Amino acid sequence: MFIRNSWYVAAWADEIVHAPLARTLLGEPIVLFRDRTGTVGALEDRCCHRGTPLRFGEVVESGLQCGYHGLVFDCAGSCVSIPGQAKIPAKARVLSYPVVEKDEFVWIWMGDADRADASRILDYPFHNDHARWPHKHAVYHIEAGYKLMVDNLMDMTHLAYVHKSTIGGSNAKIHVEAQMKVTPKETGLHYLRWMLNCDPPPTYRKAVPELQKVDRWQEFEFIAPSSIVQWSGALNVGMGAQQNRDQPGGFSLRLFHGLTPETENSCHYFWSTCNGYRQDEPEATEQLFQEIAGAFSEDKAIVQAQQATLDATGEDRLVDIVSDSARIHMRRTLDRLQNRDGAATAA
Amino acid sequence: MMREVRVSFLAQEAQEVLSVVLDAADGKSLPSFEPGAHVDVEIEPGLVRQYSLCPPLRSPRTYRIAIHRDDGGRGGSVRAHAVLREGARLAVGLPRNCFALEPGSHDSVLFAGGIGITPLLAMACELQRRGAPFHLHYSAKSDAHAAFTAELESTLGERVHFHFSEGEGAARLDVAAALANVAPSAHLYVCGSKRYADAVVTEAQARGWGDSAIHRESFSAVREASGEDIDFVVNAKASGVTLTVRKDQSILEALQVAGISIPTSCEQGICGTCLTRVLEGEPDHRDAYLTDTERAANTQIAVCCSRARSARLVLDV
Repeated sequence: MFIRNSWYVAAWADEIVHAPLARTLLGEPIVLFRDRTGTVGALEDRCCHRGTPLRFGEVVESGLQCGYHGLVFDCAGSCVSIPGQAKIPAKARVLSYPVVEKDEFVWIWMGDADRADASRILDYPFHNDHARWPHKHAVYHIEAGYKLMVDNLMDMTHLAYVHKSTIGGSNAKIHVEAQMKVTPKETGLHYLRWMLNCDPPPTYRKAVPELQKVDRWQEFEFIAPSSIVQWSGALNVGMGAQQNRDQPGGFSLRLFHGLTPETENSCHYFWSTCNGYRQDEPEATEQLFQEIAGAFSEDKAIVQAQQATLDATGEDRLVDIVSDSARIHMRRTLDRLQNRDGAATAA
Repeated sequence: MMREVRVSFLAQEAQEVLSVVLDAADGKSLPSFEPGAHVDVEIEPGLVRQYSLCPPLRSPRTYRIAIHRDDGGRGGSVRAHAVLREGARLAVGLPRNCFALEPGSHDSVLFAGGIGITPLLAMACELQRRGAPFHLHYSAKSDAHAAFTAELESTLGERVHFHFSEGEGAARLDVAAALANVAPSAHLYVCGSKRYADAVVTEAQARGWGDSAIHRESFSAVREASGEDIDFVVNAKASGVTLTVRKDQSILEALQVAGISIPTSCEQGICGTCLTRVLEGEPDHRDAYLTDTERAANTQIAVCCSRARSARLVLDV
């Protein structure tokens, strides 16, 4: 069961250039393309003529042309051209989905089309501020359900064990004993963690060699069903990080995480890294991206292994622990949305 | 982790209110804190109380707290007033913040009742620093009972509004009037006695503010959560059993002894597995699972960790 009446990241805007892009989202094969006016369309990946996947087609002047017999569809899914025939039957159309291109993302709505309200898509202004937040992005294919990946981002104590050599560091105690405040919200939840007077982890030290003992924070906003906006950083002890985190001289990064279901047990992980230090050095932005790419590969490996085990053994006989607080509030929000979704569909 | 500190400065801030500046005994800096944070203070061995932190007075790496002598309390504040002297050694824990400011520069309205001014003083200074719009309403018995009046007036100017219940020109806080022209997007912060905080929160809810925009800290909750637990009675109605939950056991343990089993997982208020319906009585919620709205409804309780505010709870088990 997917939560359908929500916006999901379908692609990075720069993934959709000339060729159509095929991607399964919420269990449905979708083809994304950019027409000649620059508008992005999302269609069912199945021509209404003979059922051929449209991903084998190409973008032509009036839309996406099927690669089998040349029917052309516009962004709304209407057939606009059938070679050798003047009349276009009313039935000649494919399913289309509302899409919005914004802040370097392409968002898709796969629920009731008349409920698609673009004003509810989260804002991510950092992607438009290249001077202050130079950034890079990627998408990972994950052989695990999106909820397990969101779980991963709700319990930061895993940094101590999964990411020792990158963003975690070797001292598990500081992660486990971090001060943490969880605030459930109507849209999801917020949490802020502080690790005071600790050693910076390897990634931070590489980025900002001046770091000594630091006050370190991790701030997360989970926007249901599967977007996570993160701001992490550290300032040397004595700089007053808890009074003002937004000051030069320390380490700071913003991460966006968007988990879009592919199937029940697989998902697409869209992520970006925004560099909040040495902004005028492209190599610093590249190095940060590579460090995070390494860390997220570690997450991918452990969560995929977890999914495989859960597939084999089921979710009985699992126990919740103290660090699950944010994760449990997140799951409660998803349950609430799922129920609302079910009620909306039934109505 | 407790750390040794020294009282470096002591002042009678107002009637019954003592302000205390604490320096690290080893001369180093104390950990920094966010406005709204509190610390455990061990006034003498075995006597630990929580105090909100005021903005630092002289060095940013010292702590300043204000202690209101509560003659009707459990005795900690009376003892503190009696024993604290400049040069005295005591211990403090790490700052914790259960009453944090929302990030950003939207409107805020701060409501302080009595000694509840301490965290709000720090928050008001932070909002001032951010350049965010705010108002602070401070209710006290009288001018003489109000702490930090000079500091508030000189730092905050027209943004602070005093409300005194006694003395010349006394005028109690009118919550409705204070909220009348406030933007619906504003965040509200309330700290004071339970009665004071309830009055403010009830009015705010009636005017459409939701849980996520109302931030409250009431001393009684802090005090009870940190104070010594007491015995209370639980009636397990469906089982027809009435039992006493001893101060050193949980409701869950007491029920188990009586042969009533409840499904559990984390056993510490995180997972919600042991939630049980409350038929009568007022729970003292100590879990992290329920939302503020669910807590206020008092219709369910995490029996692994929560206790009772009322002498008796009737549960649907």
